[in-house]
Amino acid sequence: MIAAMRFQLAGYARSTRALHPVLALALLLAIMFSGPLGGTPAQVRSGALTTLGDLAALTFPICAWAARGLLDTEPDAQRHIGVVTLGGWRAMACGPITAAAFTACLALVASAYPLAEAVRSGIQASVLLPAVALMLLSALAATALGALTSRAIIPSPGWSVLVLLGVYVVDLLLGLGPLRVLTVPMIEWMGAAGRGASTFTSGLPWFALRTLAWAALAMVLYARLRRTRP
Amino acid sequence: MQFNQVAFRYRRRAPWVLHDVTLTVPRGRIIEVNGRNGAGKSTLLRLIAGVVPPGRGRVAGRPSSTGYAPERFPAEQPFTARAYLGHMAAVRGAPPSRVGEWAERLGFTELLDTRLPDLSKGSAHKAGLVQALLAAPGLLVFDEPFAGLDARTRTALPALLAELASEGSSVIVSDHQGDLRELPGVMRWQVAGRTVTEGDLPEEHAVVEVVVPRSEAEDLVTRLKADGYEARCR
Repeated sequence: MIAAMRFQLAGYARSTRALHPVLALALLLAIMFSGPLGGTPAQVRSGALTTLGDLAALTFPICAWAARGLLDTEPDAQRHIGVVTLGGWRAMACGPITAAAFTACLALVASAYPLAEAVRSGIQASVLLPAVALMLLSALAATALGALTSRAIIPSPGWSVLVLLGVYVVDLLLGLGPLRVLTVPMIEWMGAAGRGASTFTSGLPWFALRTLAWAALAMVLYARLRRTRP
Repeated sequence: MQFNQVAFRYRRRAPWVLHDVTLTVPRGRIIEVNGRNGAGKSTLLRLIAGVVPPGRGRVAGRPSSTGYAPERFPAEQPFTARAYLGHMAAVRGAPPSRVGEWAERLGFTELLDTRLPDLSKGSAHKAGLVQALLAAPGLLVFDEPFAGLDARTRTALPALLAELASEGSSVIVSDHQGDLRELPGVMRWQVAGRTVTEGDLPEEHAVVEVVVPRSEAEDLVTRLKADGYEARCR
């Protein structure tokens, strides 16, 4: 399984597909960090937390795109060879796990600057660690969406991108209304991060639970669909 | 390995591609799968290899190590042949030296450092065969393995398959061109009418006109009938 993951990652890294989300992330970070996070240490602490909350939501489609790209790098016939070589379940799990590792790296790269600024301004680890956890959970849910829109599930590239972006937009819109419990709570965690450390920290278990549940349901759906779509 | 009343279709409500297929894949034998285009040969091979699960019925007893070479090798991958096969050997838990051994046997050694997208169709096909052979599989499934191969490899491949079968592998090969005809002990499966039958299809008949003097006609018809042919005088 490790060798298969290394194979997939090597194929992705050697293709130009990996550059697309990396460039998109670089552009996002350049825009977000074009100015300082704040003047005083208190402003930097608050700014860093708000930025991490925003980043966890804004990197979501980039991570989903990266996961989709990684899974789609493998040609269909190679995926079939993988199913025979590894066995159905391991072959099905291998791609999303590799993609989750890659998107986790993207999330950590994205959060490096605000984390460094937050540490310099003296923010407590008890606030920092939940923010990092949120970034990783967001990357996990995004990976599940990327897997659900990969070519094995949606063969048409046009429909696949439409579904990926559509789910993201619908998630944000639903997050504003009474059906927010069904969403990856991006709107809510952005709001909580903006209101301060205590609100954010107290809300995190609920955000984490919902994000994990969303990712788990998406992966169950992916696994079910992959049974008949090798 | 057993197929018990297996049926398969690609989508719900689509017509069945294969239906009510009951088969036994014997160990240590070569099986040639024949049938016209679109009859379902590749689908049958995918079911045997485990690429797709049956829609109905049951497949049991598939060997744990299976090698599968698809009809078209996926050459659009950003690796040299050596790097790709090295990765595949690692995935299969085979020693890296196997890559060189099989490449040598299939006349592929000089092309190991060529990028996969730069390989010709036949050479890419060889890469597909090598990856399938890396882990001493108990079941080998080759979809049109002779297509695009050079004459030397084409001649050598049947003996190589026979060797693998003699070591206990079940070798299943779809073949349009009859490259296994000369090999003794090959079982044949016909895919037709959404099912699979063992044995050759009845041979097609041809009409041969022979013009002879009328006085010899009766005698010739009698002799031809004695030889088992259907003959009549007009």
